[in-house]
Amino acid sequence: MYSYSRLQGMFIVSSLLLLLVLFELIRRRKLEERYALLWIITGGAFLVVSLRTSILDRIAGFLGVLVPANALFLFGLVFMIVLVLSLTVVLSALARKNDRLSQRLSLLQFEVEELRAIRDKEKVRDG
Amino acid sequence: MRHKILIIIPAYNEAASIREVIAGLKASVPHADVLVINDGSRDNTSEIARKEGAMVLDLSFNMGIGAAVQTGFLFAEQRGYDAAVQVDGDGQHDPADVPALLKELFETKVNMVIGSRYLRRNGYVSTKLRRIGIRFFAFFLFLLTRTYIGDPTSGFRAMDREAIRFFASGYPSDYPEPEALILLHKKGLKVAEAPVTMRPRSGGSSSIRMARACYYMFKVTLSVGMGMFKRVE
Repeated sequence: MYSYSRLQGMFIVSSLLLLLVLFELIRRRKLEERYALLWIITGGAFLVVSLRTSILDRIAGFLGVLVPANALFLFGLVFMIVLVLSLTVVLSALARKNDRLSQRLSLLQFEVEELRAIRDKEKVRDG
Repeated sequence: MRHKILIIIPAYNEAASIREVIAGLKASVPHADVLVINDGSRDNTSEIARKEGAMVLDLSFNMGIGAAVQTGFLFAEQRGYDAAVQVDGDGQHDPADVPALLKELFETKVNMVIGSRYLRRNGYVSTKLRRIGIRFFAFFLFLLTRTYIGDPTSGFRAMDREAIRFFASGYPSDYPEPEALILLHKKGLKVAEAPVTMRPRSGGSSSIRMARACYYMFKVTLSVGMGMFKRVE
């Protein structure tokens, strides 16, 4: 039998809540599956670790972290860094694509104006 | 046979100077087409340029000089121009120098000719601090490419078909001039310089202000260095 501390209970509830929010966001198409992947893995890992704190104890022991909860914070921090970095990568790609779109748009606009001018000239010529 | 020449003018809020620039180009290179890329200006740069008889591409929002100039390369590539000359819209570059750049381009068979303000020191050579920065990049680029370009930040340049095609497929974003040199080097394209006279800007304000100088040095050093490791198509 496990006896759950209040802190552990809070971790369990929050990781369940996170997974629920992820589920809702994906269902409402507000979050793309491919970007949700990192979140789901993290939410799942948090849940597993908070249910079985012995895993955390073992990892903390292995890393030489004195207080197991600190290992949890460490993972949270690492996760944040990875997430923000991946967001910046996505952002860079988006910015580049956005520029390409605007460039194409301006070229097309020019061509439309050009064709319109030719058409108007023909109209005048043909009466 | 006469070469088909496109003059590319990236312009962001250059209403004060664009008219004079276009008129000067029409006088110095009458057989060339003039294309203004209006980079989301908030003033009437676009209207003035049209009235002066230039072709105008309006970008939806301010994208920065790199993306603006690249739009010009895309245009030049699509329409089969033999050469493109990039000229600033702020009046810093003298239209009278364009024929000399083109002559150098076609006679020396290099792929790009850069208008250098340091080959004949008779015009505006920029502030002392900026000259030091330019020297630094010239030296850095020389170490990497073994070609000495005295004015690597100059945006006054003429390019042939091959360089146009290469830049149309990919061009650095902000402060692109020095990095473009590295990419050309990696692609195996040749660069030369020709003397030009630069004037202090007739309108607008220099995009490199003191506050941005640090970012400029950092960004360009990083992108020139990283340029050596980037893949080129």
